[in-house]
Amino acid sequence: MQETYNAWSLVSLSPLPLAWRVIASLAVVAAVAVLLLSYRGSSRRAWLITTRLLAAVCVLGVLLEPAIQLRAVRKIKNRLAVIVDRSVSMTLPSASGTSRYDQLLGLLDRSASKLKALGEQHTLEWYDLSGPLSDASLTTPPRGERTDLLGGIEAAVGRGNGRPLAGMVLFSDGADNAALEGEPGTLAQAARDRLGTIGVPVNTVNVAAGGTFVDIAIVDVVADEFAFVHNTISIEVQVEVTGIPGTTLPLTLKREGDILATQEVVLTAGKPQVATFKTKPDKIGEFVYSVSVPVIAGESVTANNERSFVLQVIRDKIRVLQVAGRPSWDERFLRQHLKENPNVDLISFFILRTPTDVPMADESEMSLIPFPVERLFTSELSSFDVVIFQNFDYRPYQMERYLPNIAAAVKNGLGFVMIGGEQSFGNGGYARTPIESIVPVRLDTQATIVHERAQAALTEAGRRHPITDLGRGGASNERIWAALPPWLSINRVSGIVQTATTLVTTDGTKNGPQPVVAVMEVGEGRSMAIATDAMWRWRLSSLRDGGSSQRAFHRFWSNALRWLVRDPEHSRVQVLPEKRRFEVGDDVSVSFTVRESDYQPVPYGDLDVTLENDRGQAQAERLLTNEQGAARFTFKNLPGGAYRVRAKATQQGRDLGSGQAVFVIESRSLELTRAAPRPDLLKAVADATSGKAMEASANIFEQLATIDPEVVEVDRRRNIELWDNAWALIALIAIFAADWALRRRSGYL
Amino acid sequence: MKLYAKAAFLVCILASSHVAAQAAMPAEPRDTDFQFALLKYPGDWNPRPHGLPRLAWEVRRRTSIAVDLATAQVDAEGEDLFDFPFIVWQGTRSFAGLSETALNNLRHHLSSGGTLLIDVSDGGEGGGFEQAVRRELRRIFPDQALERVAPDHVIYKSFYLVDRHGGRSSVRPYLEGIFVEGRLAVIFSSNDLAGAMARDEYGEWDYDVGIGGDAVREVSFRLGVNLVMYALCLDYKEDQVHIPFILERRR
Repeated sequence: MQETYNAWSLVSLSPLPLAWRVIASLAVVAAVAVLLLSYRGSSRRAWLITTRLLAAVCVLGVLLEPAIQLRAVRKIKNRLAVIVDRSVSMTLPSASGTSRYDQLLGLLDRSASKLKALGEQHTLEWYDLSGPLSDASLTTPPRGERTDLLGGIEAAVGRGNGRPLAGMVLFSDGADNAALEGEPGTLAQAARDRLGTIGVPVNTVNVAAGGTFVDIAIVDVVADEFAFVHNTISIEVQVEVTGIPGTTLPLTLKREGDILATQEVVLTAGKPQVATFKTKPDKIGEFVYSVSVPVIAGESVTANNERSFVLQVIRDKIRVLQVAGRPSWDERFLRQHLKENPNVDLISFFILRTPTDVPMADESEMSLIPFPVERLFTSELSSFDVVIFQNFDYRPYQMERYLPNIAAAVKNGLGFVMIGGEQSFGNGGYARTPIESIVPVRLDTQATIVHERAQAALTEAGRRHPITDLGRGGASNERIWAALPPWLSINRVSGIVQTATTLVTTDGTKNGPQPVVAVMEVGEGRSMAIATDAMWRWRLSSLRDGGSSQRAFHRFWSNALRWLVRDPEHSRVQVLPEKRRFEVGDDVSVSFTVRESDYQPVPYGDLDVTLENDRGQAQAERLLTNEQGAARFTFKNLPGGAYRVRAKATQQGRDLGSGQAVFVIESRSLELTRAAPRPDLLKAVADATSGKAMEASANIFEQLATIDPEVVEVDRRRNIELWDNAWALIALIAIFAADWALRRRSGYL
Repeated sequence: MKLYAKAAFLVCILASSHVAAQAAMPAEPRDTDFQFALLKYPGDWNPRPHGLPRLAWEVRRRTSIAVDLATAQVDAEGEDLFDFPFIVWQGTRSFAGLSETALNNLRHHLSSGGTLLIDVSDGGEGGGFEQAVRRELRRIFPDQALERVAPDHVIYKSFYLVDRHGGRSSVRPYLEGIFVEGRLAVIFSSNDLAGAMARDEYGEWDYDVGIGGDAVREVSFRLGVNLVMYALCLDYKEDQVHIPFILERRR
């Protein structure tokens, strides 16, 4: 078999050590040099020098034993990483009218032969900004929601199992929205440092060159997710203009289609403008707010002219009116809890002295103030979220005429609590008054207070109800209730009203279980009865339970207040979108749960679901809950916009309440927010890595800056000795003979 | 006012035997009513047996507070300490240090919302009880010291508008206290408050309070009522709605 060699080199086969070969060679050179100096006056100087040098070469040949080494070598191709930006901004039109990405695909198609040639020199590896890219996926539409050019470059460097890189080719529009840019138009220092460690040239190809990109973009909206009702909030909107020198446009703030405010913004190219809206939410609930600027003529991207966000407006504080018939430990520890609760705004009125008390002092010597009954229960009543009557007998204060106001307010949404004591419930004279219709327990005119040790016990409803969830639910909650200190006095009531639910009873008393905590829905409002004035015993409990009772006291009252004010988390009909913000094209999954007033799941309940967007388009669905009282529905192919989904629950015609939630569907805002081509960034990347910045054209592949392969592998070699043959011997003899003869004739011998 | 005072005096006389009969009797705690609880310790723990029952009776008579006239007795080492949010610590002589259990219980009680009234009964400055109780307070709250209660503190206006400090003696014309999360949890009187209020079964005052005796006793009762009212209502009288009325009356 004919051996083929594709490389050669001159080598020495001398067995002498290198040092000796060097010394001997230097000695020959020195000797020749001395001889040559002696030829200065000779007329045959040129011939003498020539023959002497040839003789010296022969001597060196003997010393060094030169040979030609033939080698068969194979070059290991280094990698050329081709990175394709497949972010959504690449779908935008380029100067030619086709999308930036289609322009790139066309270029690659036209350059197939050049790519093939390039592939013979380097191993071509294809990536997008998130990882390797196959031929099949190259032709699919770009969907990347983020452009991190630097991240893509670094990821490509890290691949290839350590094989060396010849360089990179980055096809992109340059619209990076990660960490590449620092000051406008320049690389961030950190990005520059990171590029400095790449070690290979990055050639950039701008696939969005030419044409004019005009865009008005709302690039950022800064607003809290939560706001307090009736409190002013700030919404900061950052707007940018690209492609025109500047313009003045109206910026509009809307809440679910209703215009809240408009202001003019003066926009200058290259200078982001921040506008601030101040608005005061006047309703509690979840709302979709949006800010928008009009679309101008020739604008390349219109999706970034509007941004929407969900704002949850919550009550600033739960405003509680606590009216106590007399100072007591129960009143005091409840007041302490309510005052310490940052979510409560408390107004207290305690009856410190009754008409029968003898204070032994003038009014001027006391700090007592009149009980402002009329003001509290007429004009001010609507300002409260919860009213607590704690061991309070209304009769000494001529309150009869105000009781209807209280009952009406509860039916319209007020929370009401009646707490026990010897002046409460029937003993407070509430039987056959309007209050009777809003209290969960029956009001006997001859009610009694039982002073006996009573342990709290949860009813079946109490095990599920949010008020009585003092732990994390289940067995843990039951253990907490079982360990609570006993009550020593109970208001004995003759039962609860038909629409009420008992959550807690006494346990271990002589007269059997007595209702202690009961709740009721009253129209739009809710009420609770606590038939004891001994809840304070939870608050002042010994060290023995490790503070569990104290925590139970806090949780019980926090839970109760939230339930009384219809905190959305305690709503019986829950509407829960999978998330609050979806992308266009996403499936929107919404789950529903329906519970009875005792929070037992409603199996096979009917749900009338309505989905409405901000353009007034509606979609209705009818669902049936499963055995666990839950249902799920997935809305598909919804266009962008703000949506409100409402669910009304019924069972066999019985109204079970309703719930609602909002969500937003928007285009991939990050990619389309700043979609202008950035050839400046691409050039900066190329400059920082000694690559070339190019625009898309047919000859880019000939211009690439790359690093040649450094690694050569040797498979076979053969030495052809230059001195060990007859011709070399003849030449040696001939040269020495000629030199000898010439020197003799010249008189040097 | 005079008519009220005379009527009250008659009622006082009539009721005093009943009050005294219940003095310092162990009582089953009731959740509903306010009740003084006297702290038992190895020492002279009940030097004014007629003082607190009398104050309890006055609180019942003068205010809407439901009061158990019997004074309970509690041991700081026992669980029953937590049945009584208002503890009174009296004494005349020095005593040995409390156990760690007692100290821990008192610390937890006061930090959880309890109130401790310390009434130095010997009527002198720097006596044995005062020194011992100050020592124990330092053990209960090592990081907090007794401080003078400011004259504008709500305790001086929780029911009566009071600007004096009463007591059988006038060792210190002010109250001292320890605050726990802004609340006056420990109230320290050096002036033998209970001594000025103590009255026996026959209506006789137990101790002479010197010149202006009736006025001093009345101030003592008013301050005592205010202490109870503060324990039950906290800073209620500092709620915004009360301020204009109180300012007007203090002019």
